[in-house]
Amino acid sequence: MSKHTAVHGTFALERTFPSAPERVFQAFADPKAKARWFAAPADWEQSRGKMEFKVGGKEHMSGSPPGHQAHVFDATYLDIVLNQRIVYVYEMHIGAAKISVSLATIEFKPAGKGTKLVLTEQGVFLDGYDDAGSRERGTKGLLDQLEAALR
Amino acid sequence: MTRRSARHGSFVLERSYRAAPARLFAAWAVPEQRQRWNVHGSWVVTEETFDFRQGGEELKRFGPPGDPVHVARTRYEDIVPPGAS
Repeated sequence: MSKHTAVHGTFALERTFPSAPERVFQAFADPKAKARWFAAPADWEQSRGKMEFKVGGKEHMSGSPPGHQAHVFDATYLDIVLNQRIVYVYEMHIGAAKISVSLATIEFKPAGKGTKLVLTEQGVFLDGYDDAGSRERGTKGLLDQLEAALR
Repeated sequence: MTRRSARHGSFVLERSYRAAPARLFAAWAVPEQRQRWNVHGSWVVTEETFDFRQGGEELKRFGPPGDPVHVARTRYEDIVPPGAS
């Protein structure tokens, strides 16, 4: 029997920020602004590739918990509408194993003077990797860090 | 001005074939074999590139005869051939 398995999952997160859509969008579009919140925990060893924020452009990030294999994020941007929407596909690896492939859609909607951000992920978890909601929890943690970075 | 919107969707299809997995897999993997089936009815394909490997990107331009307005861009994220350990 094959050990190659595929389990599909999807989740959506909504968060409202007091900052305008232009500023929230910028936190995704500008590599320096993104590095302030899109980051591994402080005690991880981390490295970043060049981030190409354009349709067809790539982004690469790798981080290792102390004494463990690297978690690798490899993304390709598929759709960008200035201050409104970003769509990208990303693969996650732990060491040599590809654990998931996900389609992420981020929408930036005006909400009063602020911004409602809606993040939707449709993903497939591969070869027995048991996500058990950890991707959703991890993504919520990143949005917490984004909130702090926008203050 | 364009009104931008995004709607999410998902579907799953299941079909059983008499052919072995290796033969079905080849119907995607081998360009000459994919060209035999991967077009809608009387529609035409005016441009098609093949790059069947992980990270490979393909483009296909197709549509009704004389009006090939559809463009499909494919990027392969993961490929496991039949029988791979």
